[in-house]
Amino acid sequence: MSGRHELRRLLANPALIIGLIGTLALLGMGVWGAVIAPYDPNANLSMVIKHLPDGTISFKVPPTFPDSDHVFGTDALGRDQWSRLLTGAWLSLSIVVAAAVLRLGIGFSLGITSGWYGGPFARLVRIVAAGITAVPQLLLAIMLVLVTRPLGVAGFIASLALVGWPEISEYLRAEVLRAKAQPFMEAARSTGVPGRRLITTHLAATVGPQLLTVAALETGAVLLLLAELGLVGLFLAGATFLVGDFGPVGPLKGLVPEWGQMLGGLQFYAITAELPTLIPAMFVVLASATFALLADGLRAASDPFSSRRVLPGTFGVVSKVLVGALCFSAVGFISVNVRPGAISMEEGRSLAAKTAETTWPGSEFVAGVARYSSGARDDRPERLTYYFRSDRNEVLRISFIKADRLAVEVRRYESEDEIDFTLLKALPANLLSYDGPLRQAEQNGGFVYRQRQPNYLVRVILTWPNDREAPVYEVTYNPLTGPQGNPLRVCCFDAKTGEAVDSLVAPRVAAPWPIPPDCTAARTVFRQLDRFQGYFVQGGTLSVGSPFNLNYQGDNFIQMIGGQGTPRLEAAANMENASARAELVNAQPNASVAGQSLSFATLRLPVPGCWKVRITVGTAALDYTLYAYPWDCRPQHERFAPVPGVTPLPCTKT
Amino acid sequence: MPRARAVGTRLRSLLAHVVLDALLPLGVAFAVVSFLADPAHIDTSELRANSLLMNTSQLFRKESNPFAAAVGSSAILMLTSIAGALAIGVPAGIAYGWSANRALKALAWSVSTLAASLPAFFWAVAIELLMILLWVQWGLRFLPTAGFGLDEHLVLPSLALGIRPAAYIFRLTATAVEEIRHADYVRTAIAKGLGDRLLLKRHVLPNAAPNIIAATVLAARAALSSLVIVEYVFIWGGAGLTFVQALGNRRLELASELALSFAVGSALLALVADLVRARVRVDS
Repeated sequence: MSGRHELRRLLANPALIIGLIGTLALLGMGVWGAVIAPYDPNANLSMVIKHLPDGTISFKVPPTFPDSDHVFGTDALGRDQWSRLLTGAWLSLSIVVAAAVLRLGIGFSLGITSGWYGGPFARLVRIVAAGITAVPQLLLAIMLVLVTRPLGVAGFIASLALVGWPEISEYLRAEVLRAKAQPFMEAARSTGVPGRRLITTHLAATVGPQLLTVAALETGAVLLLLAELGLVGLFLAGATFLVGDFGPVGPLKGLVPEWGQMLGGLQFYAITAELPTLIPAMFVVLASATFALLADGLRAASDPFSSRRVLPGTFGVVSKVLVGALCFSAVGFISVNVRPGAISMEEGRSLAAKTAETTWPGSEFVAGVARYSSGARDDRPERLTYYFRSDRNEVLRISFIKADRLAVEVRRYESEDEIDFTLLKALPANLLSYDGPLRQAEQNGGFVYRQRQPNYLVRVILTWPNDREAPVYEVTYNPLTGPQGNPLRVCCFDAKTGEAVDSLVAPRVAAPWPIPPDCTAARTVFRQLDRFQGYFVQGGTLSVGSPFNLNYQGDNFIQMIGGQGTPRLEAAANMENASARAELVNAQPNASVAGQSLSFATLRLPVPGCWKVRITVGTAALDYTLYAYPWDCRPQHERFAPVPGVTPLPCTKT
Repeated sequence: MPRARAVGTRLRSLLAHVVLDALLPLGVAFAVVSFLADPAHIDTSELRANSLLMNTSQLFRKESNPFAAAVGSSAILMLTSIAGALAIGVPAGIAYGWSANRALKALAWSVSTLAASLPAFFWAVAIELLMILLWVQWGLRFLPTAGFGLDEHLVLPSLALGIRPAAYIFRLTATAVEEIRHADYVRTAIAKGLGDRLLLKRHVLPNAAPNIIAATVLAARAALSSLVIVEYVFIWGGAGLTFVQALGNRRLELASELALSFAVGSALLALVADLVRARVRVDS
């Protein structure tokens, strides 16, 4: 038979051709899915109200239908479905392939041994197999997943593999029994071929071609089981909807998209007639149909009695293509997606220092910046930048894109982070990395800021200003586009110990003039307790803070953390005006908020200037100095009505 | 005396069947399920947190005996879908075997291949999708896609569950009828001038019956294994859905009872399949 003949036979087998192309496409999706995804799979992209350029407003509530922007629509949280399908492919497919391989391993070994040796062992295998098949696969898989949850991914894969093997082993047993009775087996046995060789050569040659068919079939079946588990609410990626009274409301537990997870909650939308959420289900079914087609085509091609059979050599080529594609996609996936972990500040510093030493000998490391922005797809920094200052006060910028040690970018005379390099000391080695300060800044208002500001730029900046004893980290939050929103600056964290140090948050409102040096007002630390956030003066047993970072003549709302009882003003003295009497009004006894004691009061300061105050809550006490600006300095939006006993004063320094 | 011995052998083989194919596997299933559903091993919080159905209690019926209600509901769904599959598959199979229209036959065979190879999960989702499309595009809402009820609620779940069994029954009936049609005795009967109706009644159906029964048992086993997902998709309060809910609500005894009821049903079907197979072999 000629090659052309063989090709015609192959082409006459549409199931094999479609299955092969589909399988290769799925593998490609696993490898390059995350790269070609048009949108961030985790970003909420569909706004409820959209202002169109022609002045009209479009109103859309996720999940949205497919349109020109989103080919498969968006899900209930407004995330692009096509991007999620592409990005989730690798996780779903690797679980499915791993589980299918494991299932095949169990089924093949038990099937062949029980078929070959028979006896009580085979009977036992049959009984166990019958017992396992008696319970529907899905029921057993649900229980197995719930039991193996502590094992993570391995448990999930094991759960998918531990059901469904009996069918394989039964099939194999029957095949082996059939092969055992074949004349060539008898002939081999009669010539004295030992049992092990019989299995490895003759039996393997008979049963071998089935391996690929069964593998394709099982992959499709496992994928379907994964989808069914996802539908029930069991999936690997761990993300889910929180359900409120009127349907799902965010937020999510995890961010990795996965096909099973995309199916979670499907019937909920079926009841409310939301079409787009059914798209992942159709996609999974199509994928499993692809595997089924492949299996069908392979069976026809390897069956010696089929009209579409091909020569063993051709079949070998097809199987090599498949196995090769699988290996290639595993390797390709690793090289495309598995980048080395994000490097830490110190690792980057030592790498950058080598570059700086050869580029500008003698330059010193003065600033390090980890930059994050809303466009990022993962939790790595968008870039990690190191600034080196030469003795002529010029800067060298060395950046690691995506904090990847291999993606280095070197620029001379260029800064992109608005840092004044003249006021900085050189930084030492072995400082803490940027993730700790970032985490703390997130807790201290950064997270809230990002929720309100969809397009943001976050920078974790490491410097050593001249007036400080130790290098510090500060975290800045800036709006990336549009005029809306103020920047937020969370400052500072000691870069050696990681502790928050003084004056944590930069002025929300710029001070009209600096606090006079003779009024050494205590530095404040930004803290958040549940919904209450403020700029606190930290004391041993009591911390006193206010929602605003500056104090003014008149009423100042204050919050106290610590102590038991009602806040009291023990003493208050104005430095310039000894006759001025401050008072504490509306004092509220302490309540427990987020496990801590929190109390509220209003501190009424009749005159501006430097005040020394002693506040107690029960036995806890705090002495501190504060500087109050005149009444008219208070920004418009923070003003209260004039209070009795306070004469408003113009905003001028006395 | 030889007759009595034959009966004895038959009984013994029946007993062996019951023990090997039903009782011992049931024991294994019982051991596996009770190991898995042991509160010491299982942590069902994940299910409760993730499954939207755990929180929509108004969709579910309040029953004094949830086990009986669930198994009963499942049995109703199974019976409806198998009856529907028989009602479609057998006449269609006979028509296929009897017909000479090649194009039509090829079309019917391809449709049955498609129906048999796609899982119940697919049909459930596809039917749901179709209903939603009808509603969204044309405002038609004539069959409920969720909920329990012995009325129009029964239609879509039994359709989703019955498509594959119908395809199985159709294919096996069709092959049996086609084979019988070309048998000598049928040709003789035709030559003798027997009418189609009598031919069917006297010769074809009685001879195809064992195959149809075997196909029905096979179809029932397939339907039983996909019952869970169909119930879940259509929120049909049967054993499968109640099992998931019971797990999510940590009612582990109920869950394992339901899982074992599936095992019992499956073992019974396996036994019937064995007996039918034995009978088919003996008679042919």
